[in-house]
Amino acid sequence: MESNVFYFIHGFPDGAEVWSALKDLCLGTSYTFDLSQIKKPESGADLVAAHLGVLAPALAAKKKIIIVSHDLGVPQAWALAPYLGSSLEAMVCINGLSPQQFHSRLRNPQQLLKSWYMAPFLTPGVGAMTIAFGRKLLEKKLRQCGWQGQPQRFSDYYLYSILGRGLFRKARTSSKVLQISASEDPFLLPVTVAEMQLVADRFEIEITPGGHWLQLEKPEWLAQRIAEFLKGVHEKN
Amino acid sequence: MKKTELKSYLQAQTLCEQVLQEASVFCQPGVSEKEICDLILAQFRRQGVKHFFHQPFAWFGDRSRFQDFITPLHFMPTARKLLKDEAFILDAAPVVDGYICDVGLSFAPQFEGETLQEFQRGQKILQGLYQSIPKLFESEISVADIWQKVDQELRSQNADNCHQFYPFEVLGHRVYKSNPTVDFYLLRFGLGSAQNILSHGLFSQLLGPKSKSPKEGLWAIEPHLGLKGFGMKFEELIYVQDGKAQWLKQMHLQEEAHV
Repeated sequence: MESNVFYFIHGFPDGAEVWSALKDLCLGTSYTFDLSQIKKPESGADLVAAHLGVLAPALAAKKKIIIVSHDLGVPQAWALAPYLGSSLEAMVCINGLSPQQFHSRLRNPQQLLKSWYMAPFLTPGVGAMTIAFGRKLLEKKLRQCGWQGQPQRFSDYYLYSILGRGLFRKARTSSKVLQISASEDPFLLPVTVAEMQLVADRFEIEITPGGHWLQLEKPEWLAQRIAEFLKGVHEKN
Repeated sequence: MKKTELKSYLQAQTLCEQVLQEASVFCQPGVSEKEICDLILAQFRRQGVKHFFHQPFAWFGDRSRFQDFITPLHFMPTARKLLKDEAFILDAAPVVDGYICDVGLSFAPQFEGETLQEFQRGQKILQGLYQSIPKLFESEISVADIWQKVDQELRSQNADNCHQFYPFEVLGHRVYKSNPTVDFYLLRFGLGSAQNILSHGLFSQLLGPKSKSPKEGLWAIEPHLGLKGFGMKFEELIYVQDGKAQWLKQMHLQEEAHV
């Protein structure tokens, strides 16, 4: 549907360019968030305000928003959801978790093993040092996992991680959520029904073969799956 | 006061109104007063605002009529979440390019039936006060009498006077230029900007029931009324000079029409 209004939120360590292929395939108006384009935030609220600043024209025109987020863009989408209320039409979360789901995973040793790289970034000061001294190693590891971005975005990860704490809240939405998990994602285990019940009343889970950056690996499939999901949302509405 | 200065105060007021209007869109059921105040602060930071006379306040539902407010701590933003179909008030006083402004706005969701009627009644009372307050400033009565007249008007309209619960029961206060290099906040009030106002005196800067201040100057006036289940207010800058009083916004509109 051409009346759809999409809002794409990228993850670590990407920029808005990660959405180019998918954006072209999704019918409707698109807004994208690019962390590297915003003034350095001082708190989680600054980040929310930056998101809402991008969405302000659409919200002023009383448009309903469909948030498509990936990786660490997903907790941001969940932080935004309460402020959008009934203006949030649906959410599509790709290989990412809500803050509550992250918390529940802290008790999962398998997930902790996959998230080994998170620890230094969640410690103030250590994240910046890691970026300064371990940049090349980190970049190499990420490229092995399918990352195709630019190395300067590493500093954003630190930012994300610190600000992520400010964004942590027990978000829950009454809008419908499509959670897509890749079975070969090197960083995250697929989402479970119990985890989805923590945050949404109405949801679909799709587990698909693929790696972490599905929007780059198979954008056509993803666009089709999103269109199918939205058809269901529109019919229900 | 120079016209250019008044224009700067008006620009500050317009920016503040824009930010509060924008923030009101994000006051959705489930969002707390604290969260919305943090968001408004962030929105001001995005606009380049660094200092505040007072940081933003948000009062949701029955808190907007200062129900059971006893100490100044009760005015602080709380974890109370906005419920569906509740009215709310947003109030902020940023220092924009060295000019203090203070704006308060009331918002209501899509009310229906009796609550809608009550909200419309409140709007009418506030509109009436908007018309009558400049005339009161232009009349012979003292500032303390202005406070009493507004109080009588609210009572006659069967509405509660909620501004009597503000510190010093103020209906308004003066504003000045302020340029703090650093700012510390006590109960959300910027000590730098507050000190700037207080350097001119205390009671002469406030429009309270016992004030003996001259009327001339620039004031932020904030009548606040309480209705059944919620409160409503407006806050705007009014300039009084040579026995003539005008809201800054109207002064600007008149000038534009003149041009």
